[in-house]
Order: sequence, then C-alpha cells, then structure tokens
Amino acid sequence: MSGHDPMDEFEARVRAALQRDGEQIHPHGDGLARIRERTAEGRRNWLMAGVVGLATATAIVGAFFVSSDLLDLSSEPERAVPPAAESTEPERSPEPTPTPTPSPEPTQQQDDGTTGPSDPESPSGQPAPAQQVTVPVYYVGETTTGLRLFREFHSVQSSEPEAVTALNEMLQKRPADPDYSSPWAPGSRALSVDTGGGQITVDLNAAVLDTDVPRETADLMVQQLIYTVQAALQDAGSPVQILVQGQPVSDISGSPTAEGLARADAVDVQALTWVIEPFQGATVPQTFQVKGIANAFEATVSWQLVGDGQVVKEGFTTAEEGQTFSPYSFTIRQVPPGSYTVRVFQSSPEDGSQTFVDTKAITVE
Amino acid sequence: MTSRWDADDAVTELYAAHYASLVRMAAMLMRNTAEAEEVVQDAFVAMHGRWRRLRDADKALSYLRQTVVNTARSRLRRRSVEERHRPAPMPHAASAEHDVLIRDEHSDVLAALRTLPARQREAVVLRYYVELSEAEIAQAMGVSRGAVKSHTSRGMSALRTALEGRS
Repeated sequence: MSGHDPMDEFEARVRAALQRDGEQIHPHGDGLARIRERTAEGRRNWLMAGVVGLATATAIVGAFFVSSDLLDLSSEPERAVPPAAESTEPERSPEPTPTPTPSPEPTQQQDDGTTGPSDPESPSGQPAPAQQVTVPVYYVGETTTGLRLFREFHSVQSSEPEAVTALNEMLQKRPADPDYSSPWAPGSRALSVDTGGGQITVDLNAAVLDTDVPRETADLMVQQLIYTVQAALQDAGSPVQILVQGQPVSDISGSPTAEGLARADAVDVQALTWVIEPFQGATVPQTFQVKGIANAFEATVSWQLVGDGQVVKEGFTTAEEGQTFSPYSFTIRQVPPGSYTVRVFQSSPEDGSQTFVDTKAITVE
Repeated sequence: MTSRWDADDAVTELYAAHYASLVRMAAMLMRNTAEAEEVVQDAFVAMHGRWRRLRDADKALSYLRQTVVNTARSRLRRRSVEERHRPAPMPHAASAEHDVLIRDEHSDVLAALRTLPARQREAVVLRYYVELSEAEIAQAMGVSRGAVKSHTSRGMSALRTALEGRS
C-alpha cells in the first residue's frame, strides 16, 4: 500500500485518536485489593468447606474466618474439597514467610504512565526495586461496645517481607477510614518478623515503649498487632512473641508481653459489623454492591446511604448466619452521582437504636 | 519462571504489568472507566481460579483479554436490553451518564466507535489501539481470522462514514 492511500491516513488518525483517548483513562488505585478480596473469598469458601488447615488461610482471609464457626456454610460447588493433607497443594500453598519474590522483570512497573496521577499508591514513574503488595492491616475503632478491631487492605510498594510491611503500615500509616486509628506511639516501627520455632517473633523498635494508653486500649493494641501479623503470614495458630530491640519486655503500656501471646477470640476484639467493600474513599458506579462481615443478632444487618446529611436510601439484609461472624452483601441501585456515606449497622434488639456502626465515604459516578 | 508462580503471584505480576492497559481497552469497548475496571477485575478473579491450567504469563494474558472482551460484550448487551425496557428516563439521566470519554474534545473517533456493532468495535480497538496481531485478535474475540478481517474493514468504513458525515 502506498503512503498516500487515504485509508492509511485514516488508520493513522484512528490510531492517534485512540491513543490520546487512552491517555485520559485512569484506573483507580485499589484494583488489586479488590481482586484479592474476591480471590480470597473463594478460598474462604474452600476453607469453610471443611479444611481447617491454618496454613492454608490467606493473608486476606484474616484468620478469624478460620477460628469462627463458619464450617457449615455452603461451599462453591466447583471447588472440590481436598483432604487436609493436601493443604500443600501448589496453587494455594502459601510460603510460610512470603518474602516478595525478587521481581523477574524490573519493567513491570508501569512505565507507560498507566497509573494515573490521581492514584496515591502509584510509583509515579520513579523506578523502585520494591514491588506492589496488598497487606491486611487492623486498626482500632470506636463502637457502641467500646474499642474494636477493624481491618483494611493497603496496597503499597515495599521491598520488605509482607508481614513487616503490614506491621509498618499499622504502626506508621493512617487508616484510610478516618473513623479508625492506631494507638501505637509515633515513631514505632517493626524491625523484623521471624517464624522459627513454632512461634511468630516480632521485633519492634524502642519507640513502641513510649506508647501510653489505658490498659484496655493497650490490650486491644497488642491484639491489633497479633491479628495483623498473623493475617499477613496466613497463620492464625502460632503464638506471637513481641521483642523490643531483640529483647522481651515485660509489657507495652501495661499490657503484658513477656511471653508469646495467642490471638483473642474474634468475638471479643473484632467489630461486630464491618464493611469490606466499597473501600473508604472509593469511587463506585451508580449501582454497586456492599459487602462485609457481621456478627449480628438474628443475622439482621441494616444500612443507610447518606448524602448531604439526608438518608437517601436504606434497607436491611441478612447475614448468612446470626450471632457468629458471617458474610453479608447487598446492592444499592441507581444512585445519582455524588458524595455519600454508606452506614452499615445493627439495630439494638432493646430499643432499635443503631449499634455497631461502620461507615465508608464513597463517590458515586 | 512463570510456572513457579502460584495463582496469587500471577495476579500480582499480571496486575502490575497489564491491569491499566486492560482497563483502557475495556473502557473503549464500554462506556466508562468504573465499569471497565469491574470487568477487568472479574477477569483477574477468573484467571486466578484457572491459573493451574494456564501456568504461563502469555497464556494468562490472552485469557484475560478474551475474558474482558467477552464480559464487556455481554454487559453491553444486557444493558441495552435493560435500557429498552426501562420507562422513559428522568430528565437528568442522560447527562448523568458520566461519560468522561465522550466529553473529551479529542474523542470524535471514540464517539463514532461507540455507534458500531460490538464485533466491529472490538476488532478496531484491538487492532488500532491495543495493536494486536490478527491471530491475537481472533483469539481475543473468539472468531476466525477471516472474521477479524471483515469486522475490521467494515468497522473502519463505518467509522469513516460516521466521521465524514459529522465534519
């Protein structure tokens, strides 16, 4: 074909226009976390189908799914239930310490500028040897029954093992949801996580000893660390030994830490209603799904969509089971674009008041 | 190397390398980025479940593309059925179609592209935007190479007519 072929020119015009259009499209930053949520759900079902091998729990499952009584929930039919002995099945066997694999191609950083400027997690062009990991991070939030643990997922660039990355997110980064917080003293840092000898050993820097909170908060804060590191390691069973600069310490802010500690029962430390999706700050389409976990009286979970101080839509749904940690989901339909807050809560059986509220601010577009 | 990845590794690696470009491709086939992202995320979840059979980054990428093209097409079809059965929209609804793409001044080509039948649009996007070979396009669309040729040329002619009619 000759260069003067008008079809060639037209093709060039189409190419150029599409390239320009492509540059205008900026995916949001939380795609990986959303995918992980869902791939983990499959696994949760797989776990619930009867394999209570803790080694198979994933970071995202967060080990409480395993410890809670969900074993009778129906499993995905296509997932055959492997005998427990097969928990080392290659596809799902997590390495005990998932050190980020040294990235085979350094070019996997999207060097074509594919992550938009609106993406806070993006490496924004600077080549880092680190790789993108998504880690579970527990935070403390106020509820009607006092302080409780809530979980977020953070996608971060890190060259450190996932467990260390998760702990440092917990110790140093603000939660995405402003309703949550972390009581640890500023400057607190995780130095290493070691999994030898049947326990998880977490070495922290000396700044953690500056933490000064009421005893009850300190106990929950220690559980926050245990839940986070166990979730990141996919190991809910091993006790956690906390060290400070390599040495055991009698306590952190009054909560004893001299010996290895087990995770507390989820029902005592976790929030009873929480929203997994959408994430705080997410942009969602006009019809979107809300998913979460609730431990609800008679399994009833209520919700409201609040925009501009007004309840725009409301409803209720049923968790798969009552009075145990159990998944729920519902869909909010045809919401006009704008800023909203999703409130998910339980109504008190005594007086109908809202209890155990979790909220997420979102944008509908 | 890729055969040593487990399904989670595959998601991480392929996400880093291809998520954004798959979203862009899907956004061109559909109407908005948010929906495109959902479709691409669906494809990654499906790929995760199949990783043991794919076991290879290239195969996984073609699987992702194929899944995205298929899902985008069936969503569009479903939506057009829904729209046909929906009562007259609220006055605001048309502008509420948050179509970032169509508002863009450079997007006359893209706007015209949206008027094409799905297959022609797919063929044009895969060839002129994603720059795939004919064989790759055939695979992604699940049709023969001959069909790719005819969808592409019919799509390009229709585009041209649409654009010339406009100017």
